[in-house]
Amino acid sequence: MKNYLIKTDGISKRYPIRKQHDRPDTLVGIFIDFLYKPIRNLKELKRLSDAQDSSTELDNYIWALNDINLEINNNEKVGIIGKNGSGKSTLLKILSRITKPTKGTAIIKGRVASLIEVGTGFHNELSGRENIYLNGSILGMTKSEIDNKYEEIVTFSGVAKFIDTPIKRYSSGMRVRLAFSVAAHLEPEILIVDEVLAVGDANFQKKCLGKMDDVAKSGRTVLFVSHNLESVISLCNRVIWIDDGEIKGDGNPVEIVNKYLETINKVSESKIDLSLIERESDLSFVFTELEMKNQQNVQTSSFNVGDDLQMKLKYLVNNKSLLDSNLQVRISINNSKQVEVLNLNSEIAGYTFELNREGYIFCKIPHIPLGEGTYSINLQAIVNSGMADIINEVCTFEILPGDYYGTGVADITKASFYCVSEWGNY
Amino acid sequence: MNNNKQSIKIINSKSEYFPNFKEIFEYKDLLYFLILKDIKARYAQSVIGIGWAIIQPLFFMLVFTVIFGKLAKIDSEGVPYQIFSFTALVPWTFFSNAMADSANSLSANLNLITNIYIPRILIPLSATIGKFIDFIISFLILIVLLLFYSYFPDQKIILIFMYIFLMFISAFAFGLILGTMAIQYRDIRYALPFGIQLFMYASPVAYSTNMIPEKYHIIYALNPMVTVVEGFRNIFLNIENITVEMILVSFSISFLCLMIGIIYFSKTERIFADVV
Repeated sequence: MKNYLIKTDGISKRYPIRKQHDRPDTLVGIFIDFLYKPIRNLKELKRLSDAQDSSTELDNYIWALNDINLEINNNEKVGIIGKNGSGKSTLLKILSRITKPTKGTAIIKGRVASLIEVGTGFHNELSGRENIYLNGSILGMTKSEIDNKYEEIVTFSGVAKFIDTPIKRYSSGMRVRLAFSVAAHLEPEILIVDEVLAVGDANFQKKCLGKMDDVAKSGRTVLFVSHNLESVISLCNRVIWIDDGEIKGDGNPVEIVNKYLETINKVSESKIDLSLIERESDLSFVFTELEMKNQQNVQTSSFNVGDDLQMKLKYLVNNKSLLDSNLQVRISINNSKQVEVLNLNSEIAGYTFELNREGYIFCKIPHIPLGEGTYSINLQAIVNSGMADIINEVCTFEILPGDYYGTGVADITKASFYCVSEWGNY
Repeated sequence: MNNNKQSIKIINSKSEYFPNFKEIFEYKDLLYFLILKDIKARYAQSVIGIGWAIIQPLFFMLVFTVIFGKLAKIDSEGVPYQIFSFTALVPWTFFSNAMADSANSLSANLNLITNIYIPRILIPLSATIGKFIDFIISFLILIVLLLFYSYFPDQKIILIFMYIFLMFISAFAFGLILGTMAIQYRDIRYALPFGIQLFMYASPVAYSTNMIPEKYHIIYALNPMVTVVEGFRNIFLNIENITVEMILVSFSISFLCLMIGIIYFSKTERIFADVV
């Protein structure tokens, strides 16, 4: 079949693992370490630039993608799913030509526009109008194309009144609307969208998904990476599931999503090491461990309805300037369909924490009211109102039927929630 | 849209030796907007605005005139020292600023490198052209000043385009090499300011080339700014310190650096998004 738009042949990508050097603990050691540092840094940087040369096979490399063979045809809406660090973003980056593969080839027919970030290249000092042109041309439009779409873009964004104001005076919502309306008016043959598009507020997400639906319906090919499995199912007619850099499933959306859910909903350990998870943040604040216990202080990841769920989070601060800063922790709990059922926010709950060099945060849900099922945990740390650490799908736990009301009778219905109820009669 | 002339791209692990010039041409509108951004952003929220383009060389002219002209009494070949130094400071200011700006441009625009694909060579190129706009303004001031001191150029003026061209490609070439290195090695960023200082003393900005023994002039011209500065002085002030050999040496070294810069950049470009 000659009809494909994208064809990849053995695409692989290797990254070196950057090891944190052991800290010397003597004064002489520190001095020697100091002298060796330039040489070590140079070696490190060299290694990084050789990263693509596949002649040397070493242990300190990680294959983010391994032998990906794909054929994507005209008109297909392909959703790409997988855990964090599974390699799906790397695949998008290779197909959008941001980074090169270590091995393999890909052939792309047609114009590609990739939206990995909204408003790439926006400059605060420039007016809305100037940013439309700048951002549009970064996304690959020519000036005359932007000229033609200009009125539409401005109308869609709803910031027409401020179009000649520098965008530093815009609210963040206005800025996102402007950025998105530029992106929405691209007319590429292939549109590549990363999930970061879906981080705005709920309204923006809806608008974003709606517009993507339009794009998809207009007969263009869309590649869409997302954690939001519901939107993947509703938007896409094909789903590719990537895990550990390999394709684990490819085909009918519902079928593949279900297979994927089966694996992530396996109940995990009760104590999870988080220090080695790959992150996009600067690592100045990291969660290093999560431990789950029940009311008897026994480590477990399996609870009965009505048990106390205790979570103990260990964190580490790598940047001294963050010490004594204000920490806010959000724990969000999703059910097996990836729908958020609880969002525990330390600040809203009335607790404030100050950061130490390292420490523990406890969170207890007394009499857990969730129904039978498997749940996963997402973690977020906000330090000085800035996002400091995000880990999605940290772990899963299961809820088994239990005696929520303390009456000695376990409820075996399939309800999602429990709550105390008061009854009476006349 | 343009299904009939569908573009086919092949992605593989090989790195190119040269940028794809056809693609760069397709992105020419982006180049224009990047330059516009560069200029607008630089002078936004400043009172004097684009006037800063001339303040820097004028200020150096004052300082140089006092220190080198009046105190050190450096030989300015019979020309008033302020004119002697300003003629050199106009191209030098462009060269140093353009080189520094394009060297920093890649690390300053990381989001353009890690989040989207554009022909990345446009980033240092737009920084260099952005500074060229400043150069044109200070060049006009230079002309006014020369007329004020009654220096009228003769038909040699046509050669000015050659020197401006040399100035531009050497600034771009050096900026490209340094910028590519700066992405991997942060050291470049710290070394750049004093490197430029040294470079200035290695160029005949505050003094005249005839203070260097004549037999070394060819070697001296390995610094292309020597030829540019003496070329400017030759055209506007009739100072004869420039020879055809020097011009050839400077052009050769600049083109060589440009080739090295382009190849080094293209070879390194594939890991830009991975090292930052």
